[in-house]
Amino acid sequence: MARKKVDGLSVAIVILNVLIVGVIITLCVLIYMYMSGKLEQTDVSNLGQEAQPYATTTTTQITTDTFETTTLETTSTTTEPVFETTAGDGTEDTIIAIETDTSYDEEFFADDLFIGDSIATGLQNYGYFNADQVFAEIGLNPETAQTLEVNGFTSITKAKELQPKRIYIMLGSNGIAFMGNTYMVQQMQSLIEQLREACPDSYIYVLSIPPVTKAHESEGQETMAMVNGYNKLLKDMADDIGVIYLDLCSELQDSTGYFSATYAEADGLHFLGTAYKKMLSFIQKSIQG
Amino acid sequence: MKRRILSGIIAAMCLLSASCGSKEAETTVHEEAAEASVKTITAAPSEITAAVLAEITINSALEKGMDDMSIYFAELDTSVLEDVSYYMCASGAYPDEIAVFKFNTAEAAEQNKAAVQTRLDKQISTYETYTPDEFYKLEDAVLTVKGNYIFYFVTENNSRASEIMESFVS
Repeated sequence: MARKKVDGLSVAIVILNVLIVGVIITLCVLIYMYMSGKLEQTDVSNLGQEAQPYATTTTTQITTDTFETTTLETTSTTTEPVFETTAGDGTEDTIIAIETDTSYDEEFFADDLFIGDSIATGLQNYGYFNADQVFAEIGLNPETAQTLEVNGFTSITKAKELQPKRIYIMLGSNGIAFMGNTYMVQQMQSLIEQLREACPDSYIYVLSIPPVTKAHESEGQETMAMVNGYNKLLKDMADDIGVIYLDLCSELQDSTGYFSATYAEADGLHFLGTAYKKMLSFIQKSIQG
Repeated sequence: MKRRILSGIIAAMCLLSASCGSKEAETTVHEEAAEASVKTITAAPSEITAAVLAEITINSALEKGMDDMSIYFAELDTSVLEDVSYYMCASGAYPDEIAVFKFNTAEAAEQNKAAVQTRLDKQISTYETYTPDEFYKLEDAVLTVKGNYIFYFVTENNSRASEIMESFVS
């Protein structure tokens, strides 16, 4: 009798276990089906992140813009069976457009030197160039650039030491509001002549100073009239002494002639990360034709 | 009767023992608290800077790594620096920057405070005339040593940055 009871209990336990396993399997299947639906959406949203390695060669701002564009495109086609192909193509097109617009070759600048003010410090801060290739200091102007020492070098002694292939100078934003354009351009000419003497084999390029935003102008310091006035004198001087003037200002303006929000820092005067790549791309294209 | 008395004594001894035990625990807690006043920080520098940046904005904030320390904090002895998290305004428009340095010892942190002060002094001399409107960020800048950490904040709200920092100090 006792043995029969034990057998009876064993059968009941086996049936109970089978039922429990059945319920668990059913739950797993249901969860899997639910998750499968979600996963499709996850794959869609990940397309933007897959694009990141391409976009991260640009600056953070460009990356963000690319993500936003991608998201908009993917959202609009989530119900279409051909979604991935469409979204993928759209993403790639966007990236290529950005890359084409601001691409540059690091090797092209490998033997070059930049001289500038706080705007040029961004070239080093953002990692476009190491400290050896940038002579930049906050507040620098064409006058102080001839004498101010940074880490034991003036711009001229640094250029003499480096003997760069090309020297780019972008100075003047610090001063157009109070130094006088004529005086500043005279100082630029003096700086260029000293650089020529120190580096007779280097090509020297003068970059226009960048535009300012309308909001910055309304604060009552630097204005677009000042920027344009200085740049015109700068170009005339460059033509007179035989150095090449590069009109970066026009590249950074929006349709109204002010500093484009795409490139302008919140103060309306400095560069966002996007602007440096634009600048380097413009320089390389200008020089290579 | 004797059993009841014996039981009572045992119970009393147990209670006394328990009481003594709790006093010992309290004493231990006080000792730990005293040790904690030496400033114990377990969070990684990046956790602390992330908490600050979650509340305080730095325009064009960019994180620089250990290799960049010699550029921005030239006098820093990186051989005793275990970890660092440093964010700066990369555009050069604003003086804003935050840094949390973790050294291998508290003495090393104390010795390297001067190196960070040198950076702060340079920023003060630069921005005093460059952008006077931004100078308030440097006037009450935070530069303090806590244990083996150095905290350095130049932001639009340095007092709040200090509060966030304190929340990581136990």
